[in-house]
Amino acid sequence: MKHRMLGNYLRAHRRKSGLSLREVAVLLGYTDEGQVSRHERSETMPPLSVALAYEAIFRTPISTLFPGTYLDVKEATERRLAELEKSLHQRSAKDSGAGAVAHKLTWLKQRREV
Amino acid sequence: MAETTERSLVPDKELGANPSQGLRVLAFEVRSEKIGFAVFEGPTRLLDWGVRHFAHRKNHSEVALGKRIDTILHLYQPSIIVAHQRSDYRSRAKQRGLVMAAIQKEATGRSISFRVVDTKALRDFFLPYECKTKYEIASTLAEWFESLTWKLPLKRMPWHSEHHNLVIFDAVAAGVVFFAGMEPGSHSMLNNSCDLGWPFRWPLTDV
Repeated sequence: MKHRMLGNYLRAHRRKSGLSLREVAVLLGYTDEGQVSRHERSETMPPLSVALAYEAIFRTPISTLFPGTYLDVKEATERRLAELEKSLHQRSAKDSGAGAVAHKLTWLKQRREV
Repeated sequence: MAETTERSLVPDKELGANPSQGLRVLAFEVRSEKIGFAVFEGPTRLLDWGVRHFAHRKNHSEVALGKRIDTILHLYQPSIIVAHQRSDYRSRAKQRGLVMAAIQKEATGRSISFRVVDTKALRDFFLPYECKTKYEIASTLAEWFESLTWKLPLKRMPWHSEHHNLVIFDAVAAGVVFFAGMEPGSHSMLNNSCDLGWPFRWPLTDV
């Protein structure tokens, strides 16, 4: 059975910590809990600084806190990387900058294998 | 012995680390004017819990309840809803029946599977752990799920009314019994749920 992935685990981590919305908001530097609530309900995405603050508070990587978003971003990026690799392959070895192309292709290959 | 605690099975950092491994289940304990809920992701990950109160007016319980549980359903998008059907007493059975029907309707409307855990299955499951009373069950659950420990109320005196937090533990118990009775690879309830024990021995994937 395929399970639907949650957008984020902010609420789960907050509940586990016992912190209130208000307390987390204060830790993040917000004046009220509205933003935190919207983040938890995936209504808005936190800016990078706030996402990093969540990571610091719950000691959990952003990619684990926001698995759904991470997966979407990762898939889109992988797709674009594949397109880049394809376009690099189509360049002729006689073109200027062939060395740089070869280097990039090697890096892309090594990246895939990691 | 370390593996018998929730912490050893689910370190804090693993919460949500691999969501595809956990079947998300929303467990309810239904009372006449409130419901306790617990959200599981797999048998050992407790994501959320709480109590929702609602007014019981004529023909309005369905609407009121829908609003109360809508947020939880929207937030966690469970694959299965489990509700504990009390069979041990008849007090306010009609109201509880209405609430159960409303939950079932919500589940059906959202294409979520609906399962019922009866009191006998619950008692049978916890009997080997020497848990006969609701408080003993709650105490055991507080040991298994450390994030709930602080929610465990003090043992009440006979002349005290039930603590409002106890309904959360009843919901967690329903969820636990549901998972214990789940055959790997299916969503059916087994009759020998007690034999499976806790913590779960089977792989947590593909449940």
